[in-house]
Amino acid sequence: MRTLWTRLRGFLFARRLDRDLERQIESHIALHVEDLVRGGMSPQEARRQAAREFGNATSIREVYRETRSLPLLETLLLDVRYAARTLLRRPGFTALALAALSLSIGLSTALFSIVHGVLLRSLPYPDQDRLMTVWQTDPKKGGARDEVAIGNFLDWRLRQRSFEGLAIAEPFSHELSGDGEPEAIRSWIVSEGFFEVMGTPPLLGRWFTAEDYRAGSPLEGYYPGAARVVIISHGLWQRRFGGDPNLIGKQLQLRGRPMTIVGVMPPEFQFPAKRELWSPRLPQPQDRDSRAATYMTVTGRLKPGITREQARQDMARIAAELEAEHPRTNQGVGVRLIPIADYLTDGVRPVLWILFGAASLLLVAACANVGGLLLARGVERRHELAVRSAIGGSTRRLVRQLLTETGLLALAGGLGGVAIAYGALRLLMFLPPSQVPRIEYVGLSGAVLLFCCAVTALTALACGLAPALRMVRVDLADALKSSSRALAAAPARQRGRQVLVAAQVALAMVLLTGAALLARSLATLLAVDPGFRPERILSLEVHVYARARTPQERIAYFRQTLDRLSRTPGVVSAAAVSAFPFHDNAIDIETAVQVVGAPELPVHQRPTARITTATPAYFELMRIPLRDGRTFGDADALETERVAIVNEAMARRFFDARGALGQRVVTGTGGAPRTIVGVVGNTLRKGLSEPPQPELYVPHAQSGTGSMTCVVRTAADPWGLVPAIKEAIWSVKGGQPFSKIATAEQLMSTTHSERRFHLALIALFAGMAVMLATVGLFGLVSYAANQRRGEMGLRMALGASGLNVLGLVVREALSLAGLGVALGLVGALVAGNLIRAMLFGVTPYDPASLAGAPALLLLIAIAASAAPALRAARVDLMRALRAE
Amino acid sequence: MATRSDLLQGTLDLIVLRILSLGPRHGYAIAQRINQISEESFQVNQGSLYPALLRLEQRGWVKSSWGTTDTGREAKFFELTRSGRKQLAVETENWERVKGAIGRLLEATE
Repeated sequence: MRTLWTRLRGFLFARRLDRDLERQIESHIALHVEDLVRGGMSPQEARRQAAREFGNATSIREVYRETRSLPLLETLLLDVRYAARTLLRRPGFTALALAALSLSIGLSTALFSIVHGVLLRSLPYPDQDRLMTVWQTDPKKGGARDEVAIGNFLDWRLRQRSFEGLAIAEPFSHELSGDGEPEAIRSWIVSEGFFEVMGTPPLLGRWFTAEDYRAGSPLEGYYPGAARVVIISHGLWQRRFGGDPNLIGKQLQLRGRPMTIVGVMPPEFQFPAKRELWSPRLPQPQDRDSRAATYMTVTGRLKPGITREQARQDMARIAAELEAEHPRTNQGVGVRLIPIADYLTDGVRPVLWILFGAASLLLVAACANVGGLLLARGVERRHELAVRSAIGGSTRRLVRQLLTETGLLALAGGLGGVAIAYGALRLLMFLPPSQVPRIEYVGLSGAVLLFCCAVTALTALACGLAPALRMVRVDLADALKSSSRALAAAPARQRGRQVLVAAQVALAMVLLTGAALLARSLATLLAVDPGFRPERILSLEVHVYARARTPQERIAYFRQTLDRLSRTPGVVSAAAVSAFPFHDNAIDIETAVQVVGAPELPVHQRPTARITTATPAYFELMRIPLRDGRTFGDADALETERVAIVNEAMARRFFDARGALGQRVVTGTGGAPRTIVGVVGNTLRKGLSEPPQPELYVPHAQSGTGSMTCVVRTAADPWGLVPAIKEAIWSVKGGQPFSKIATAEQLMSTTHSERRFHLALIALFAGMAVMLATVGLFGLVSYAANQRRGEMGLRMALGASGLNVLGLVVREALSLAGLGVALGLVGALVAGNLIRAMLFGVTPYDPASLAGAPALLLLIAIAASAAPALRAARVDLMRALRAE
Repeated sequence: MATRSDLLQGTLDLIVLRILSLGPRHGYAIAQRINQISEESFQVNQGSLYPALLRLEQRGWVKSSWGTTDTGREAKFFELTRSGRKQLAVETENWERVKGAIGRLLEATE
C-alpha cells in the first residue's frame, strides 16, 4: 500500500525525481573522479574509468523510472503519446487502417445488434419452448402453411391430447370514437384461454375471464366482437391515454358502444403480430361448420413432457379423422406445428445469421489487412526499432509499444465503428419495417456495446500481435546494418497473403456485380409507367358499414363527402375507389366473368378479372387515359342501366379484335349483366414489376360499397391539407373514423422498398469489400516494394528508368487484382443466377454490370499501388545500394 | 541482463541495508564499500545501486537528504529508518537460514 502511494507520488512528481537521479549520477561520478585523481590518475582517464564502472546510464535511468512510479501507467501514457505521434506522422496509412477497422467493426456491430434484438432477445412468454403455433397445410393452395378454419380448430381443441390449451386469434378492427380523434384500431379477437396459453402477465389489470365471454348484448346483434371488455397494448396506452396509471375500469367507445378496459399488456407482448387491442371472440353458431375460410392464428401450450413430434402425430391423427368426416373441405388438409420463436423470426433467421457471418468474415479480412499494413510499416521502421532495442528497450517493452499503436488504432476504429453502427441502424429504421419482426428492439444496447468492445480488443490483438512479434524478433545487428533481408517473409507466407488479397478482390467483384445488377433492376423498374400520375395525391381509407347500413345510404354518404372534399380550398378534385393502386392491403376482388353471347362456362372455369368500384371523377383525377367510350357520369345510378368500364388488358383478353364497347358481361355467380361503356388505360396495382391484369370498373352509384379509399388531388403539398380534409370528412358524419393516410408516391415507393433494402444491403457489403480489397492490395504491395528497395536501386543503377520501376510495382498489384477479378467473374455469374428472381429487366449476364466491376477494381489496384510504386521509383540510389 | 539483476536484487538490498546500519552514507560511498568488502569477488554495476536505493526508500527502510561531503561536494545521503533496522534483522536471519540450509545441502552431497 505504502509502496503504491510513494509510487503514485513518484508518478506525479516524475520530473523532480528524474532530476534528482541526474544530480545523484553527477555527484557519484564527480566523487569517483575525485578519488581516482587523488590516487594519481589523469582527470580524463579518471572520468573514463568512473563512467565505465558506473555502467550504462540510460538503462539505469530506465530501471529507475520503472521503479520510481507506476510503470504500467507511466509507460502506457508514454506509449500512447508516442503511438499517437507515430500514427499522425503517416496520415495516409492511418486513415486507410482506420477506415478499414471502423467500417468492419461498425458493420459487425450493427448486424450483431440486429441479431441480438431480433433473434437472441428472449420472448416475453414463460416456457416459450412449449409454445407452438399450429397451422393447416393444404397442397392445393401450395403454401407451406395456412391460417386455420374455425370449424377445424374447434375439433382440434376437442380431440387433442398433447396441449394444455389451444387458442385462436382472429384479426379484427375496432373503431374508436369518443375523446380525441376517431380512428380504426387494428385488433385481435381471441378465444377463451388465449392469454393463459401465452402466459404473459398483464402490465396492469387482468386477463379475460370466463364471465367476459358471456357478456355479449343481444340488443347489439350477436357478432364475434360483441364482448364488453378489452385489453390494450402498451403502445395504445401510451399513445392514446398518455400512460394513465388509473386506466383500468375506464370505458372506451368502440363501434359506438362502451367497452371496459380491463388490462394493459407489456410492450414486448405482440402476438400474433403487432396490433393494439385484444377483445374476447364470442363463439358463433355457424363456427362449427366453417371449414373453408381460413384466417385464424392458432397457438397451443404443450403439456409438460410432450415433445413436438408427439404433438405432431397427435394432430396428424385428428387431421386424418377430419379428412374422412369432411372430404369436401378437408381433403388433403394437414397440420403443421411451428415453435413460437421460429414463427416470430420466420424467414429472417437464416438471412440474419448469414449476414452476421459475412460481416464477421469481413472483420477477419480487415484484421488481416491492417496486420499486413503494419507489417509493411514494420519494414520501414526496422531501423527505429533496432535503435530503440540497442539503447536498452526490452523486447517486452517494444512489443507493448507496437501493441499500443494497434490498440490505439483499434480503439479509434471501435469508436468509429459505434458511430457507423448507429448511423447504419438509423438508416435501417428509415427502411420499411417490412418483414423483420421486433425490429424496434434493435439498438445500441449495453450488450451490443459490450460486443463492440470485445470485438475491438480482439481486433487490436489479432492485427497487432503477429506483426509486432515478427518485427522485434528480427536480428538486431542485421537490422542496424539495414539489410532489407532482415524482415523478408518466408515465401510460403507471402503466398498466403497473396491468396488472401486475391480472394478479397474476387469477393468484391462478386458483390459489386450483384449491386450493379440490383441497381439496374431498380432503375428499370422506376422507369416503368404505372398508368397514372401519382404526384400530389393523398389517399385515406373510410369504412362506413357500421354507420350507413343500406347501399343508398352509403352512396349518398360518399357523394356528400366527396362534394365537401372537392370544395375544400387547395383540393383540385376528389374521388373514391374500392382498391387504390399499391395500397398494401387494398381489397382485391377477383371475379369470374361471363361475356353475354359467348359460350357459357361453369362458374369455376370462367376467366377472372379484378373488380373495382370507382366514382365518376376517379379516372380524370388519376390521369388514367380514356381510350374509348365514356367514363362514369352522375346519371349512372342504382335504377339506371348497369354499366362497367374495362381496362385495355381486359378488352384485349376478353374481346380481342372485336370492340369491347357495348358488350355485356355477367360478373360473379350471377345477377343482371353490365354493359361496357368505356375502355381505359391499364394501371399497375401491386407492384411495378408485375404485368397489368384485366380489370373491370363498376360505378359506386351502382354498388354502394362501404369500404372505400378517398382520393384527393391537391394543388400543393398534400400533407398540408390533412387537417382540412379531416374537417371535411367529419362535417358529413361526426366521428367517422378513417385510417391509413398516405400519398400515392409513398405507397408506390413502399412497394419497391424491399428491393431498395436488398440493394442498400448488398451495396453496403460491396463497398466494404472494395475498401478491404484496396487496403489488402496496398498493404501487400507496399510491403513487397519496401523489401525490394535494394533491388530497385540496383535496377536503376543499371539504367532502368523510374518509369520501369513504377511499372514493376504496379504490375504486381495488377496481376494480383487480375487473378481476383477472374475468379470473381465466375463467382459473379453464379451469384447472378442465384438472385435471378430479384432482377427486373436485366439478365445475370448483363454486360454493363459485368464490365463495370472489373474496370473499377483494376483502377483501384493501380491507385492502391501508386503510392508505394512512386516511393520505389523515387528511391535514393546511393542509399538503397548502401543498404544492401 | 534481467537474470543478473534478479539474482542480485535480494542480496543487494541486504548488503546496502547492512552498510547503512553503520551510519549514513552517500551512493558513491556505498558503492566503494561494496567493492571493498566483496574484494571484487562480485562486480556491481555501480549505477544499479540507485534504483535499489530508490526501492528501499519507497518501502520506507531508508530515508535520504541532500548534503555535502567532506570534500565539499553535494551528494545525497541515505540512512536507515527504524523499520529498515527491523528489516535488516529479518533479512539477516533469512540469509543465515538459507546459508545454513545450502551449506548442509552441499555437505550432504559431498
